[in-house]
Amino acid sequence: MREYVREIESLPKSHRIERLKKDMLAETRYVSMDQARIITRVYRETEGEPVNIRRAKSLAAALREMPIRIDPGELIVGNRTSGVRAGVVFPEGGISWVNKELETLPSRPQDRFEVHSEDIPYFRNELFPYWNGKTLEDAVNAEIGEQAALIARVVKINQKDHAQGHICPNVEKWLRMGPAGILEEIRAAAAKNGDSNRFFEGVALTLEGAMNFMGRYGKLALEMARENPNFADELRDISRICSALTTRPPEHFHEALQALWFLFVTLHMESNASSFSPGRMDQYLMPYFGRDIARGALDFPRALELIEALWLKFNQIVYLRSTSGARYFAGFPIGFNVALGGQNADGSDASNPLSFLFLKAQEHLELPQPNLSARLFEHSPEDLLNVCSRVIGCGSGMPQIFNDEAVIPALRGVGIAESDAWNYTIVGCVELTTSGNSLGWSDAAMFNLVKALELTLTGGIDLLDGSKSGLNLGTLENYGSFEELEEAFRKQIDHFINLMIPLCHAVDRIHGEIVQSPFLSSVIDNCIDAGVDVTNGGAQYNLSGIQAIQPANIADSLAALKTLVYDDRKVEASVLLNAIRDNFEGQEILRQRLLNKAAKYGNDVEWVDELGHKWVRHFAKRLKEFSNRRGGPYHTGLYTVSAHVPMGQNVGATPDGRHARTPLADGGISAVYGRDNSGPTALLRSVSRIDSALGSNGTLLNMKFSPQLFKTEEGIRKFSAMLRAFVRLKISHVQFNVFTEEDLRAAIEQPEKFRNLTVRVAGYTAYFTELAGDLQEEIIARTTYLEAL
Amino acid sequence: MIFGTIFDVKRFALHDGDGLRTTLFLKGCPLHCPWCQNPEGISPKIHLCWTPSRCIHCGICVSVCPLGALSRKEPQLDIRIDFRKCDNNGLCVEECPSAALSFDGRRVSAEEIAGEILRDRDFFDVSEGGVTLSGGEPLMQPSFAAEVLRICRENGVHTAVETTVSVPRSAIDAVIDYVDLFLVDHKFADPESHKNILGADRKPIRRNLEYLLSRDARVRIRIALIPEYTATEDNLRGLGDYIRSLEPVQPSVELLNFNPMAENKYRLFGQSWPISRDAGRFSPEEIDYFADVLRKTGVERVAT
Ligand code: SF4
Ligand code: SF4
Repeated sequence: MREYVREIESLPKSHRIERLKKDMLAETRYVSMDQARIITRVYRETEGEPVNIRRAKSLAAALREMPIRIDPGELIVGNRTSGVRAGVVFPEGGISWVNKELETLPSRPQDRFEVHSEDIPYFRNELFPYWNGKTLEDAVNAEIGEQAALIARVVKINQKDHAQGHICPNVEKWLRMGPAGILEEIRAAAAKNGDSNRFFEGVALTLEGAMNFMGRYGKLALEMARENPNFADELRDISRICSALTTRPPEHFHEALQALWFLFVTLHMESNASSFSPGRMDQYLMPYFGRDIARGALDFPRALELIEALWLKFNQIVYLRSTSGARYFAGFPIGFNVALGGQNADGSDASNPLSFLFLKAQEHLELPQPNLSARLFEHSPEDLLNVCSRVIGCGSGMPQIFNDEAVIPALRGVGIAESDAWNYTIVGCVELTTSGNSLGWSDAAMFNLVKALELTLTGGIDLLDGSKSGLNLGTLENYGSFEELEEAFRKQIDHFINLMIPLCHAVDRIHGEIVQSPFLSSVIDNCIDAGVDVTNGGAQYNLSGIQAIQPANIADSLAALKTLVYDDRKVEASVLLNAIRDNFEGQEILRQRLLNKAAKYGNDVEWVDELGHKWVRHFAKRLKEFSNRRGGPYHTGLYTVSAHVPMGQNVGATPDGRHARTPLADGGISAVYGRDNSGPTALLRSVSRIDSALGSNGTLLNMKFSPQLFKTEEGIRKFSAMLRAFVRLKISHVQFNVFTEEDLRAAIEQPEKFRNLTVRVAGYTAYFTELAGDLQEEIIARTTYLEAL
Repeated sequence: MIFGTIFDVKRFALHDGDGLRTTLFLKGCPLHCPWCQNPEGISPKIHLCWTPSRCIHCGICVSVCPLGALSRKEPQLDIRIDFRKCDNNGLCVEECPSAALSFDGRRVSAEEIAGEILRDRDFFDVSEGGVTLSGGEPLMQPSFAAEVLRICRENGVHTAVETTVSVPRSAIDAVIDYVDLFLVDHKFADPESHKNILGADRKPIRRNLEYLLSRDARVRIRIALIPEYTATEDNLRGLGDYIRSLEPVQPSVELLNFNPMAENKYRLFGQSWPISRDAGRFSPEEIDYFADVLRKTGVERVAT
């Protein structure tokens, strides 16, 4: 273990941070319409001006006018609302769902928010009437609503009602130049290239707004210093920092953290999008940290406290989703994804003291944000693996683990240059991106392969309501061989892909018309050079990610069909077809056969795993034939976040023995829970057969371990060894839940005692007690790897 | 081809030697420890067994058995197996839809099972782990054990054998060249207890242990801490006195915590569990105490 690792490992918790954390969690979450009021006013004032200017002006006005607040004791300040964890109503995205659900937000099953009583009449009388018909959602619905509904059973088109997030801005540049420096760059570019479409004008307006925002915090801190003698010194410090940042880039570590936070608050105020990632913070912050340590202005305990202060901030912005949206992304994940470790351009290990301070902060706080991701590779040092393992063993589900050996080649495969691929990071839950130069458009759509298989077996008839929903290529009874069945499945998939792509295209274009993002464009490489907004293809890389759902159910279903219907001929095709039509009613014997007499994905059985791989490969290959509206490729994601529950609700009984409407396999490439009973090594080998290069948009594997394993040094070392094997097997991602069933049952029974308990839902961590009951049950049901007897 | 009878393959085994391991459990054991953790491993023969929690009471098994070995006990519809009639033809296992019927072991060739073990080579490599043969008493099937170990060793996999060495010298000679580490169970210092409780003499076991040491085999002695049986100060002191005297190299000792989980298995096999119902695992402090007893007798390396 390196000396500094030993030192960081022994750092204690900070009382200040503990207190701030407690206060934060105790504060009631409200729906906030403050910014909506400002945006609406500015839009009324700017009728007839170009969209980017209206967007820029309304953001600038919000930055100047939004009520702001500093809590005494805070070391990093700023938020997009004056209350913490507020659900921001963002009219440009879409508010028709708010119109329907406003009164039920305080009582709905997932992600509740209180509503200020004065906001209800304002919303109904002013906000909604003004925006109705003008929002992104309205425009998308008007243009593709009907076509999207036609394919909705198989394809869920996303990003229809909010601006696109899942972006890692160029934080390094923001810190190096500051808003003032970028403003100069903008002015120079405008002088050189002209500004016929007023792109530069819009960007400049937002940068000026951001500077004003920082200055307001500087002023507020100074005023508060007078009234809070106990905190006077540090408030004056904060004031000095905020004021300085309006005119120059940060010089010290504390300044850099504060500057970073202002960047992210402003991005969220502009887009209200899910997930802007700080990315490889341990890399670009290292110069500031190193300098301060060297000149004696900073020590490890102080650095940790500052980092934890920022970590708290990452938890203060949550995302207001519709009731159905909250079911797909339960627990308001917002995805401040921080990557640590990994490698340098020359292939050497990149971990440094900050990597370990981040891990320590995670261990101390055990909060859902940031979404902490550790990058591992062949030469990752032992101490990094062991500390990651130990922190995972604490149970908050973080860090999640990414594997350079799989990710870098996968990104190379979709046209990412070598000089960017090694510097990849993660956005949202598990989506892969380059740093600071990409609009990756993750989650453009979710493609339910399991539903496509259902329609293949039934002649295009939806098992749940009998409607005609897909191609009629015959039914299970007509396919004479397994190969014929597979051929029909292929056609069914291709049919829906062909219908899906134009709709994704349209959504992408409408974003470029309605939610242009001038501020974001200032921190995404190439936008300024090209003079083009990021939503219109200004970024250097322009990808679109579509999720294939869910290879485990596909592999298990096809394996059962192949074994029992075609190879062993133990089950009549017509009997099986009727059984799934009847949701196995009165057919428990058959269902048990399907469960027990055919091999299952996740048990190191090559041919079954290969079935999963084969269909992912087909899907990925087809996608690659299309390019998106911004000129970049479509590629495949193998992660469902928490969507396996609602996606499953949409699928009838399946030949893998699954009942209708029950969840699909969790994660993305996990096995169906309870069906992988050959231990974790077998699961990992199975998963490794789905070529990670196919999931270049990101993959997700959940594993659950008993806390017993982490009780001894030796257990932790063995877990680390398993991570090493995972790296060798070239699987892109894995994450761990570590707790016993009893822990979770207790939390369901006495939620008030377990408010703090965080679990890994999908590619993100959420408070267990804040999840809806069906999702809680599903998490409990996932296979646990116990300590060996 | 050499065949053997096994009852389980456990991948990701964490407590059967160093690193990540795959443990292969061979059937048959000459001892009869009353607290045995793997009671299905005692008999060398394969038996049909029925897992009530899996059974959906469809009755298919009863109707397919050509020998009338199965019957249903009303009203719970429990399946009764008449082992005098059953000839292990497996028809019921084949037809049982829920896998409630299964055999408690299987015959496999050494090549086949070694291939299965080698699947986890990536995990062995990164952890300095490997394969462990356990049981039952793995050296009851010496040529099969030797062949599995030989193939694994040939493929660069570290090999360990967990044994009571309560076997003929020839069995030890069959495997000794293919074993990197012997994990030798030694339970009782007192010859009377050894004989009465385990059903075997202490003397030949100690002789075999000494023989292993004389052949320069790497040996780790494992003492399972069983409440009321082995986990007493007297017994540990007695074992310590003996271990201290061993030559040429004093072997290391590993104390294994008691695992009450096996009680479930006993219920499954309809046997009574010999340990007090409320006996749980020992606390870390208690384990340290036992380790100290050993250390005080002069045992140099004690791991817990
Ligand atoms: S066939 Fe299997 S499930 Fe059916 S009664 Fe027999 S043991 Fe039970
Ligand atoms: S194994 Fe054969 S003989 Fe024994 S119970 Fe089953 S069917 Fe009958």
